[in-house]
Amino acid sequence: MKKIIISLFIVEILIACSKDTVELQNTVTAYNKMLVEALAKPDENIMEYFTSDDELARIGAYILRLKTEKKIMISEIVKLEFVSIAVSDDKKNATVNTREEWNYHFVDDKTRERVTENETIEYENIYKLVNEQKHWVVDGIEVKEK
Amino acid sequence: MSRFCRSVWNFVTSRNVAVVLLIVVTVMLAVGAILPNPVFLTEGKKIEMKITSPALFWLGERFNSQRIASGRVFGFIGIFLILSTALCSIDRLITKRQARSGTLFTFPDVTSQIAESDYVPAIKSTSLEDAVRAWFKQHKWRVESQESVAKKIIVGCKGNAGFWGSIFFHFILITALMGLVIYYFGGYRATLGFTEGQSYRLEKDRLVHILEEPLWGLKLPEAEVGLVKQYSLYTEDDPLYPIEHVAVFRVNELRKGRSWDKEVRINDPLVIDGKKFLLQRGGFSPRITVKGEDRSVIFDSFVALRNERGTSDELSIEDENLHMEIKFYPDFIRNGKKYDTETLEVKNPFFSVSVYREDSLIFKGLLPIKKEESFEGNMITFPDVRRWVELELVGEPGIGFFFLVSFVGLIGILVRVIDPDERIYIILEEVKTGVNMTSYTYSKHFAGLIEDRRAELVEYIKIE
Repeated sequence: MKKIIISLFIVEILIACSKDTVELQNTVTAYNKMLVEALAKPDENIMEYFTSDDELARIGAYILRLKTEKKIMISEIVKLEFVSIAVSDDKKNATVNTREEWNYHFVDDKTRERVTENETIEYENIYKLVNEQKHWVVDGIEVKEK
Repeated sequence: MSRFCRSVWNFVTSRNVAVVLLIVVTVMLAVGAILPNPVFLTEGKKIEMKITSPALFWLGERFNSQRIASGRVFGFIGIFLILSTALCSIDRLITKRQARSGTLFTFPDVTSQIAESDYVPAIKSTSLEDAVRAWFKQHKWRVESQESVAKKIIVGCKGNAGFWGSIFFHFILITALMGLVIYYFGGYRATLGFTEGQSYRLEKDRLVHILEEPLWGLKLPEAEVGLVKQYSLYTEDDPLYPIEHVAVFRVNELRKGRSWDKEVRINDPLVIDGKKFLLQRGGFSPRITVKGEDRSVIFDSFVALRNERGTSDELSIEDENLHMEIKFYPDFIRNGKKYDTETLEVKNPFFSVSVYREDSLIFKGLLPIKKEESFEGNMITFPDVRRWVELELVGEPGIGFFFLVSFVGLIGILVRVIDPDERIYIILEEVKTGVNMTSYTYSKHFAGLIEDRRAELVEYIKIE
């Protein structure tokens, strides 16, 4: 009986851990998909559900900079690989390490004509996530260009 | 009971009629399942099918399983089966009562099997009767007997528990079928649509389609519901093939005074006050703004695109006599002279729009998001594009009850199989030098086994 209880406890912990992992992976994936959309529209507000206020402000600032340069960024994430995921004991903070490959170019915001050539860039990112309002949101990113 | 009444009674309590009706229902559902259901086809596929296979489309539209199951014939058969099952149980109880009073055993009935006769010399019928009774007692058979001047009939009966198992099954079946009746009259299905950022109080007027409504009316939860965000995750290999659709809803339960978010997925519905809202489909919803020559706003609204995976649709602005064909390319690419989208993710949003006034094309163009174009002095722009989703409010009261109770009813069938209805009739007729013993058997399901029992009984009597 004791063995069964311990086994069930371990299974429960494993399920809980994998649930967090999947949720964090989905959040980072969705964040990146929405970031592509936010840059293409351009409208940072669509990121609201996936980011903290600070991160939203950071994206907003970047989009504003592009607007002043009369540019729109057309991008796509080619590769998103999850290297490691760590969740704090109180399950309020998490870090997700990724390897990413992006393609992007810029277009004129009025004519939508291409103004730069296509470029490919690889990153090793550390996403810092917080659990706000019962779901994970991206609070910041440490970017390391390869 | 008059002959007519007897015929009606026999008809409604007939197992064969029930079997025929069940076969009819099964065939109807099987045919319905084979036929395509236009409800589940996209507008494009519907049109294609209408042109290529009009007969199949006509049949599918009228006789798909969904339509059949909610039709009157299906309902009538269901009600008839409930009635038949109820009366069948009553009929069995009447038969049982008659059996207790002995009227059933005046002579082996027509269902009995071939008689076997034995002559037992130099013995009294009472001695034989004792032996018969002893065998029945030993094997726990209930004994009924009848006596006339010339002969004595002893009937060994088995299957009492089985009989009540059968009655239990029938009554359970009535209860289970009541579940279907509750579903038939109380089931509901309706759809409602949301665009990202849109929020409203759940009211009947908000429902886009009401496909089924309970007899006593559809009551919606007292809540305000809004679509916060909708996004889809796609496989890396095929960017047009989604692996997950997620719609984030914010629910404000007005009576309970609490607010909560829910990530609704295809198999993870939104549940408010026990009512289920399933994520059904979705698409893009661009905001379309049309301004007149004096720059006054003629039209400004989000329009849910319902065709071609939620990327195209038509729009009429009645007052201005304008008709538009809109196609959205979330990830625009040019394939030669053709426009296309590489993925369904908003990476490079463009719209193609054709504007007609009284069937004459007055404008055709490709517009990136937020860019204004003019036609006949008017201005058109797509300032924003969001996503829309359709939720289906589904209630199937009684269905869970039906399956649960049907499962319990199987216990009755099991008892019936373990303790089947069996009878052995022994007729003893005294002649000058001994007794003529004739035996009949009756077994509803296990004719071979009862023959073995009879042989065993006759052998026992002879030895005794």
